[in-house]
Amino acid sequence: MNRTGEHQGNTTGERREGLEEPVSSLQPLSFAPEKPGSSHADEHVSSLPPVSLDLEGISIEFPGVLACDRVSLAIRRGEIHALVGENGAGKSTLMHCAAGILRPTSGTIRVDGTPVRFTSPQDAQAAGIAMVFQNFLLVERLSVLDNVLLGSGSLPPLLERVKLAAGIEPVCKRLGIELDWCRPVESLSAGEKQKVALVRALYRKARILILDEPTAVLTPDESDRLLETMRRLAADGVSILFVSHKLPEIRSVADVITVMHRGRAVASSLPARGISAEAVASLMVGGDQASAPISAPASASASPSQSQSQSQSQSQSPSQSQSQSQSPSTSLSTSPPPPSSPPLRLDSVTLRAGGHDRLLSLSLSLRSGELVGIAGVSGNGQRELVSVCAGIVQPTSGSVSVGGSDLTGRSPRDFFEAGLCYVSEDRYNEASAAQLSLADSICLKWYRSLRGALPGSLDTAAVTRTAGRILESFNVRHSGPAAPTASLSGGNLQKLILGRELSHEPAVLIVHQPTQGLDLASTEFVYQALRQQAARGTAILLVSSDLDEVLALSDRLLVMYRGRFVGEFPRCEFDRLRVGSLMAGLVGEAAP
Amino acid sequence: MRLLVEPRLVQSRVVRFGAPAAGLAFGLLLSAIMLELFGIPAPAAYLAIIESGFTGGLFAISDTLTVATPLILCGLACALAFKTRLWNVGAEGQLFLGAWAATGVAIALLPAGTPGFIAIPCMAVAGFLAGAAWGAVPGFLRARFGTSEILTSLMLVYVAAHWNNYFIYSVWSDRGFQMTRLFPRESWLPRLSDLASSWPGAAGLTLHAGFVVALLLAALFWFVMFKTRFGFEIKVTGISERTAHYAGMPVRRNIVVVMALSGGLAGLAGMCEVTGVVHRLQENFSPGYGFTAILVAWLARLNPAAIVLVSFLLSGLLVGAREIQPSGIAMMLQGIVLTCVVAADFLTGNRIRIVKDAARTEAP
Repeated sequence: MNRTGEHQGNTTGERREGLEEPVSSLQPLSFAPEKPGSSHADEHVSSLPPVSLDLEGISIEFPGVLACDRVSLAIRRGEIHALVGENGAGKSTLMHCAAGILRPTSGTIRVDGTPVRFTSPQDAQAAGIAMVFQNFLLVERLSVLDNVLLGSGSLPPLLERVKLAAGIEPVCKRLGIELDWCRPVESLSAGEKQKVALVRALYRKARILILDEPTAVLTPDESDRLLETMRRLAADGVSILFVSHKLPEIRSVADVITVMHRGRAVASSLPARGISAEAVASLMVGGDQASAPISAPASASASPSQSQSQSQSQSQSPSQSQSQSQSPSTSLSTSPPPPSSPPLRLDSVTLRAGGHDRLLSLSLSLRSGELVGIAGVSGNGQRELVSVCAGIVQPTSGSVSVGGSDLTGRSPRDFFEAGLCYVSEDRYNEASAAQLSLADSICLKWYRSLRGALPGSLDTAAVTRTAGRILESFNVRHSGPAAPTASLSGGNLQKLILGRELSHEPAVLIVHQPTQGLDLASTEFVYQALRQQAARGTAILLVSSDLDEVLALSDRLLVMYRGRFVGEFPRCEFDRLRVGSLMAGLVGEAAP
Repeated sequence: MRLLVEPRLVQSRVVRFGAPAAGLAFGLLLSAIMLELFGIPAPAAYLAIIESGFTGGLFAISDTLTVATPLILCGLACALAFKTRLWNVGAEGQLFLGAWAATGVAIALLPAGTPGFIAIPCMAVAGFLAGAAWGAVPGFLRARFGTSEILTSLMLVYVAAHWNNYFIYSVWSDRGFQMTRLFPRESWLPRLSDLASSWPGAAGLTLHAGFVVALLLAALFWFVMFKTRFGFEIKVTGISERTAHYAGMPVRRNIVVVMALSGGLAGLAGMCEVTGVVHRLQENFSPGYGFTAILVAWLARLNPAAIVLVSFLLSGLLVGAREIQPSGIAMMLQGIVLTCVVAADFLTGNRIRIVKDAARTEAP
């Protein structure tokens, strides 16, 4: 990987304050000096088709977060341009900006060389840019034809559908798509819906298509056909920007690849055929750091604006992790001889839902005091996995046991009473509810034990006391236990939830995306709480799409891809590059 | 210039109570116009309504509270379901079945001469259970198959009405009339007029013991809602079923239980109506109490004390408007006023802003 070019390139290495990013920051890599195919060199090669969409120095700032940091990206006519990166790297933000949904804080967008300012998606549409969303945004009840016509602006007052359908026919021919115009969209498969969304975009004369994870909801067969359609479109001169996490499909269809990491383009317009999938994977998960063993301490100094405690904690754990001389004995698994029954055990758990296999024969066993991390791009079955582990969802087959007793098919309450606590990723709608008061949110896992004098009654004084105790001991900043849960910030709500669960001294703790959307201080609080709890003998399952987090905290790490565990690493063998490759689906190539 | 509707972020006290009050005032104004169009002097009509519904002495109050009784019970029934975010709109049907079961106990099951202290509890239990069964059906369908309880509970109203008619017209018909025979005297709910022998002023007062039961149940409702573990589960389930399931609450079971309890309360209202007021089962013994109660519960924001208050005010309007001829006027007034109050409810959650078009172009 290119480490000498670290400080070159179109963006400087300075960091902004207020970023919610851990320390292991990356300098953008420029491939320009070495790779003649990269964007800078391209400008001078006249044989290449002209640039149709040019994003230059795009920054998009949300309160407290810089989602995109001076990202530049150019898409040529008829080019298939893949945009890759981890969850939260800023890909979606960038696409929304190009589609007129978001306005950039700074930077320029050019369409065919002309600077444009989009104030709405309609403006982008008028400029020939259309976005196809992951969920397609179709009106389910309307027919295919009506969905295509919808929003195309100039419709005749009399809708002669036969005539209008005839106008769409050539578009479909071009794509090799056959659709029954009269069927309601709700009766279509995901693949067919996507075709409708594509036809709609092209009917609106889109010349630049933006596809957000187009294959995420498709079957492998449908995916293949979509890729074929994309090739046809590109051959027709349509430019395509698409986001994907699946490296195999990217390599099969894309001409060039732009990699984003933490709001920056760490590599722009790499030729897809000239670069190995492993190299892309390593850029995705942290650039050149990945090729070397994890080396956070070096980068910690590059960010003086970060809080002291954060940089310390962040730099400690990775260094601990990768230094192989420190044998596994340094990890927290200096536990007493393992008891006969593991705190949590999954035995070939399979889950089928909505006609798809969500989990495929997963087996997992946790030891007391062990923190097991599950890494993976979100949407590969993690949500289903934690739901099954916590008894929220029943597995289709296989068994789940907590503390040695088989709880397959039992209620979440039974799981809880067996000593399992679960911190859901959805803080406002599952782990608590926005409209509940703080006391009630805490009471969710306490109300059964706070019995009043009368049968069935609730000791409301004890509710307030318990709530106050947890709010205080977990340092939740609040405006009284009667305030609505919605009034808490994400970090404070997470402290409340974690406090509520930990106050039960669980034998097993499952945490899903525990620091998503949290600021630095709260993130650090969560990390410390998890470490302490593991040290007290709780078996912890940490499921997160933040690879750094999983690497920093776990004693053992498993990688999830498409509902399977595709790799397992003990702490002494953590390898960011291999984990990244596995996360991106390079199973055959990266796994031994 | 155009109107912009946007949700209110903060609902102040003034708005919460002011908006329904403004709706009430507007409804009364609109009704006044209608009355004048019918050639009825509106001020006089309103005075008459207040007189005979509220201020006209004991008789007025007694009549009003008698009408309020089924409204309170059905209002509690609806509020319980609505708290759980279950839209039980079939309280009317559950009320019918409760009345039917109480009637069956009174005239078909118990031997003549059964003393009241046995007969009345038996009728109450039967009325409650029949209503509960009628409510549990949509509850079960919802919990088990995800069927919309709005449709099923509403459809069951018509089933219940025809079920009752079958008995009224044939099985229990009193000499071919479309009603059952009068209940035996012992099984009537005690009324204020029963006290006439010791207190002559009570003669002719129709208020029955069901009103006291309604008040007690309103208090019990409050206790269950706010002071019990079941009430807590109900509240959480109503706010988020996902959260309730996550917290280990038996969501499906509670859905059936709540619908059954809701139906039971409405069934009790039916029992009180037949044993306390009409003393027989007949068609149209309820002027849609079960439906009006939906609005009562809604306007009272599911608060039991407010349900009692709203029921009282609405009953006064209904009783008072009876005095105005032609007879359909009462229903019309009720309809207009309720429509306006409910429409004004929109304003508590949203506000309307007038935006000049110039402002729009300024906006980024």
